[in-house]
Amino acid sequence: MKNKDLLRLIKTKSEEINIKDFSAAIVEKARLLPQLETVEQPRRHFQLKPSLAYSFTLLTAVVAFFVLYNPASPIIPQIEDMNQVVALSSVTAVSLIDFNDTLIDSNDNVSLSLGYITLDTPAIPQIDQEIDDVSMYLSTMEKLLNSNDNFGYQLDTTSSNGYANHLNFTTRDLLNQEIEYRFNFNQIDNSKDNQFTMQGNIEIGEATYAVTAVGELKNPQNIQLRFQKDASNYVDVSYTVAETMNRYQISVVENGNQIQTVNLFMKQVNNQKSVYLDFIEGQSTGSYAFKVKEVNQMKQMNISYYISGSTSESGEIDVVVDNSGAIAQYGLTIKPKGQIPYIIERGRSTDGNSSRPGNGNPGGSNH
Amino acid sequence: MDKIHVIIEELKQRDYKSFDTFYNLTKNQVFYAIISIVKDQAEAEDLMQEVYMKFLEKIDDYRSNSNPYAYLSTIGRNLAINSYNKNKRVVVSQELIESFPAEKIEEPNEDIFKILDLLDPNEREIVTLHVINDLKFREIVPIVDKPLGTVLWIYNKAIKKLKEKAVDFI
Repeated sequence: MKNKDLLRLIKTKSEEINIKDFSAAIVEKARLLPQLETVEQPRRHFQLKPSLAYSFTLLTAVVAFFVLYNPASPIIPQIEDMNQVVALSSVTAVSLIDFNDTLIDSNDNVSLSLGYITLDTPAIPQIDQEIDDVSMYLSTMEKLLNSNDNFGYQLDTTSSNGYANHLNFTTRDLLNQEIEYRFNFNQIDNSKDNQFTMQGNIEIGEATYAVTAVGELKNPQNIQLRFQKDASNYVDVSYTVAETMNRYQISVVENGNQIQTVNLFMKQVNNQKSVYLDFIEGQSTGSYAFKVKEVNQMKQMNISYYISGSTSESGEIDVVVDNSGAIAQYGLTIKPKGQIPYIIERGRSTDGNSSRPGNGNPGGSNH
Repeated sequence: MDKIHVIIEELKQRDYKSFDTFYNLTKNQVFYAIISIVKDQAEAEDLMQEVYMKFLEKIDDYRSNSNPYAYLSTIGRNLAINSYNKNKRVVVSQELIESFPAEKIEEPNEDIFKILDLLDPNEREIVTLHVINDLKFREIVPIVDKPLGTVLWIYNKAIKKLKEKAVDFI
């Protein structure tokens, strides 16, 4: 039996029960209730920040960058199964259409869930102003924290479509679903200027983004890449090694305006991988540490945050993927320290339409 | 503003002319929130009246941006647990759901109750609130006082169980 058939059955059967009509009796009793003064509760208004439409490009940029440029792990050419890539690319194409729709639907769906009966309207914590921008990175963090360290990359050096090199790699998300990427590029070394440049594109399903890169031949600790949707919408990624820390600085440019810059670091302690995110330019502020934990055999993300300002605030955010509906969403339980926790939902990019479900999704279901 | 919130605003002004419409829009949610706990239709119907009276008594506390179905489900659940505690002289509320005695359960005639009986109490309540009462998981969390991840896990487990066992009711 399919999920949707089961849910329809439950719903239909529940409607077969004849529930008595007590409305007249209730009204009669209600009229005897003492009259109370009506107090209008203040309404909460959520000002949503600009759409998250760039998170996909951003994810691509970040993931590709991690694969493409990792001085500690030189790329080793291997043979790639092209049939598999073509098949998976076909599957991924569909989800790109859903991607923006998912975000739009979810943005309409924001509300607090606590305070049903007895709680007064709580003060709005600072994290509430930042959470939309933090949510842009959830999809990225899922993949950075769940994928193999080198994303299982394979380099194909067979020339095709005008490109001499084809780098294939795979990510895995919290639902254990894999997404495949293909970066096609040509590299030109200029030893006179101690510089190399790369030009090409990256394919995820039917989506393709132009990629350019520039770096120093003798100093592999600096490289800049640009992933372009078009001339005025792109993501710049700059990699540097500073004080033994690998830092990725990411700038998002929308309609020619740089809307956000963040720093991203990765760290692994006792087999626990963490990714650190700092907002350094743009509307958002704060530092966020992402890691994955497993609860009830389900993988979840945990975010520790610290926001400084006129008053500082810290707290935790638990992120689960709710895949019980037709479209998977993020459920965020936001727990500001010393304040009332609350839950919101956010759209989740499928980034390639759940191309290859794995075995690690015990609670997984779709209806 | 949708129809139900318009009626609620009227009710806040002690204008009950559309209460029957309000009742018909919400009675299923209230009934199933209660019966997923007390499992007795007559008792559930008695408690329904209490739920609506409680709602009308405290209507000034109702926040305009709340989901009325979730709000009523919460009242229904609380009253059902209180009723059970009263009858059984049990004070613990959260563990209560886990410990419904077998002798309390009568063999149901209706398919929906038979289907829900395939589930354990936690599963039954979450499936009822989500599938029958149309509540979002984030709205169920404060009602059942469990983390979102746990609610999703219980729900998925329940659906898996029902997919295997509910075929007989098609």
